[in-house]
Amino acid sequence: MATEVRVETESELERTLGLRAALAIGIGTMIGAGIFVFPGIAAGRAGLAATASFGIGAVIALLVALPASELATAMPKSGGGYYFVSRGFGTLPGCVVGISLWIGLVFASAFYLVGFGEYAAAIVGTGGGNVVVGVALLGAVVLTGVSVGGTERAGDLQNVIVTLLLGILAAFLTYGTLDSLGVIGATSPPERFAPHGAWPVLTTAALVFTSYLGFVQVATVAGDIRDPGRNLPIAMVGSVLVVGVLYVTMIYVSTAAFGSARLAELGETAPVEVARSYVGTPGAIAILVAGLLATVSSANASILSASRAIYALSNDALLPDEAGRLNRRYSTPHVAILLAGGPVIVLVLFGPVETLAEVASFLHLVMYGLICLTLIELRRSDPDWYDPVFRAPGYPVLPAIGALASFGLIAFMAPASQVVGLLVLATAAGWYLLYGREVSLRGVHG
Amino acid sequence: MSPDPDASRSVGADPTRFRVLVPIDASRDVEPSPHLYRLLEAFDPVVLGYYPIPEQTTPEQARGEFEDEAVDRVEGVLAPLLADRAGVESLLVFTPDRVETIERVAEEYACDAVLAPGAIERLERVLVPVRGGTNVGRIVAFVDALVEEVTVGVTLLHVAPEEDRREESELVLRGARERLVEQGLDPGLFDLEVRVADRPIPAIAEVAATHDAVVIGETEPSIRDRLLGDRPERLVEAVGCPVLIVRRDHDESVSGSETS
Repeated sequence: MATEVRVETESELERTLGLRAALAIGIGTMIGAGIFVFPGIAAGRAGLAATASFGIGAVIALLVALPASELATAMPKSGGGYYFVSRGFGTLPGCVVGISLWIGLVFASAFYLVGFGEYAAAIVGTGGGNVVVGVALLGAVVLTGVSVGGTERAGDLQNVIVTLLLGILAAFLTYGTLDSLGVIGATSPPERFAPHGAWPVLTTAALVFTSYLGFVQVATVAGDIRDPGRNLPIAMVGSVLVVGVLYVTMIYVSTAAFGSARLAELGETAPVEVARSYVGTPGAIAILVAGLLATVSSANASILSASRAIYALSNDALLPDEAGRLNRRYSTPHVAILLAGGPVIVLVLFGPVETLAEVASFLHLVMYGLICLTLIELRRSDPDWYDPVFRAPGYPVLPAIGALASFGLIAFMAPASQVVGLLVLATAAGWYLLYGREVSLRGVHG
Repeated sequence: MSPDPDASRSVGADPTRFRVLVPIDASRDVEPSPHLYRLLEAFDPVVLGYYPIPEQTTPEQARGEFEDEAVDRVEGVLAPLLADRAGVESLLVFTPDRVETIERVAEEYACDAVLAPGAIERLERVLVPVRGGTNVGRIVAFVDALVEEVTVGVTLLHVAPEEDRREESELVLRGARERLVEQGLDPGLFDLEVRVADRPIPAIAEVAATHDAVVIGETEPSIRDRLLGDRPERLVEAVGCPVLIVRRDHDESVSGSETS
C-alpha cells in the first residue's frame, strides 16, 4: 500500500482467432435450422426452383459480406452492424438497428430451437407439437444457463461440430448428387423447374434467407481475429459460399429423391427421409444427429451474438449500464445473456416456425441494407478515423445493389412477418425517443 | 500486434542477463512469496498479467469492466521487483487462451525462460533435471546465472532408462557440473543424482518434492508430447513448486512474424 511506485502497465487484447476459427464461426452460425428445416417447406412452395431461392439468398449475403468486411476492419468492435450504422448515420438509426439486431437474433434463436425440437421429436418418433415445444423450451433454458455459467474453450467444440457437420453433409450430398445424376443407381426423372411460377421463388427466397444470417457474426469478433485485413473478408465471403453451395445442393438432392410435392408432405424433417432413401437407416441417423448439432449450435451462437449487441448498446448508453455488466464469478455478461435468452423462451412457446424465421430475416435485412449504405456514406464523407485495412470492391455500385436487394427482399415476406418486423422497428425508435435522445454517436469512433 | 522487441520495451534491461517471463493470473488476488522474489533477483523479469475470459465475453468488454483492478494486481506484484531495479517490463492481456498468450508474449519480449508458478516456502535447493544432448548448454548457462546471484544448492538429476546405462548418466551429469565449475562456481554447491525409471516425469516429480524450485529445458514436442500434452507442462502439473522452463534457442528470423 505504501509503495508509490506506479508503472504504466499497458493492457492488450489477445487475438486468438485464426482463419479456420473465423470460418467456423460463420459456417457454424449459418448451418443451422435453415438447411435442415427448410427443404420440405421450400420445395413445396417453389418446386425445384427453391434452389434458385437459396441462390438469391447467397448473392444478397455476398453483396453485404463485402461492405461488412470493410467496415469491420475499420471498426473491429463487438457491436458489429450496430456499431457501423450508429457511427455512419447517428444515434436513431443506430438504436433501431441495435435493438432490431438483438430482437432479430432472439427470433433466429427461437427458430433454430424449434428446428432442434422437430429433430428431437423425429427421434422419439412422435410428431406431436408438444414434444417439439417442450424440447425447444428445454434447449433455450439450458443454453442460457450454460452461457451464464461460462464455458472454457468452447471454440474448440465449435470447430469439432462444424467439421463433423461439414463431413456428414458433404458425404451425403456428394452421394445424393451422383445418384440423382445417374452416376450411381437409376436416373431420377427431371422435374419442372418452377412449377408455380416466379413469384413463389422470391417469397421462398425471403423465407429461407434466415439460413444466411450468421455471416455478419464474424464481424462481431473482428477484434479477436488475427490479420483481419486478410482473414475477415475471406471468412465472411468463404462461409457464405460454402453454405450457399451446401444449401443449393441439398434442395437439388432432396427434390431429386422425392419430388417437391412429396417433400412438402414430409415437412420440417424431410432431409432425414431423403437421407434414408439414399443410404438407408445409417444415413437417416447421420442427418438426424447433424440436424440436432446444427440447430443447437446456431441457437447458442445467436444468443451469444445477441448478448454482444446488448453490450454494445449499453456501452453507448442506449441501454442501462447494468445490461453490460459482467458477472464477477464467471466473468460472463449474465444480464445481457438473460435479456437474450429470456425472450427466446417466450417466442418458442408462441411463434410458428415460418414467422420466427421471417421476422429474424426482416430485422437482419434492415441492418444489412443499412450496412451497405453506411459503407457508401463513410467512403463519401471519408472521416479521419475511417481507415479500413480491406476495401470492398465495386464501390459504389455493388453496395448500392446490396442495399436495394436487402430492402427489396423484405417486400416478399408474409404480411404477418412484415407487421411484427415493423412493430419491432417502431418500438426501437420509440425507445430512442424515450431513452437515447441525449446520446450522440455519429462519427464517434475510438 | 507487430512483434518489435525494441529498445523502448527494455527499460533498464541488461542484455547479458536472462529474461524470465512471470505470468500471473490478474483475475485473482495474488501475493507472491518473498522467496520467489529472491529467485527472480538473478534475472530480468517480464511480468505478464493475464486475465482469462470465457467465450461469452468479448475481450473488449472484460477490459472495460476489470482493467483497473487487474492493473492494480499486476502492479502489486511488480512493486517488490522494482526495489532493486531501474525498471521492470509489464503488460496485461485479456485473453480467452492463457497458453497462447504466454507463448506469444515470451516470443515477443524475447524471454529466455518462463516461470510456472507454484508454492515456494524457502529457497535452499533447486532441482535441475538434465536430459543430455542439445539443450544442456542453455540450461547450464541459465543455472550459472541463477547461482551467481542467488546462493542455492543445486541437484543435477538425470533419469536413466535402465540400470546398465547409469554410467552414461553420471557422465552427462559430471560434464554439466564441470561446465558450471569452469564458470567459477563452488563445486560443493552441486549434488549429482541418477534415477533409474521408465517414465521420467514421475521420477523427476518425486525428487522435486524435496526441492524448492525446478529448472527444466523446453523440449521439442515429440509426437508423444503432442498427444499427451507437452512434457514441461505435464511436469509442472506433477510438481508443486515453481518451475522455470528454459526456452529453446529461438531464431528471431523464423518465429513471431505471423501477424503484423
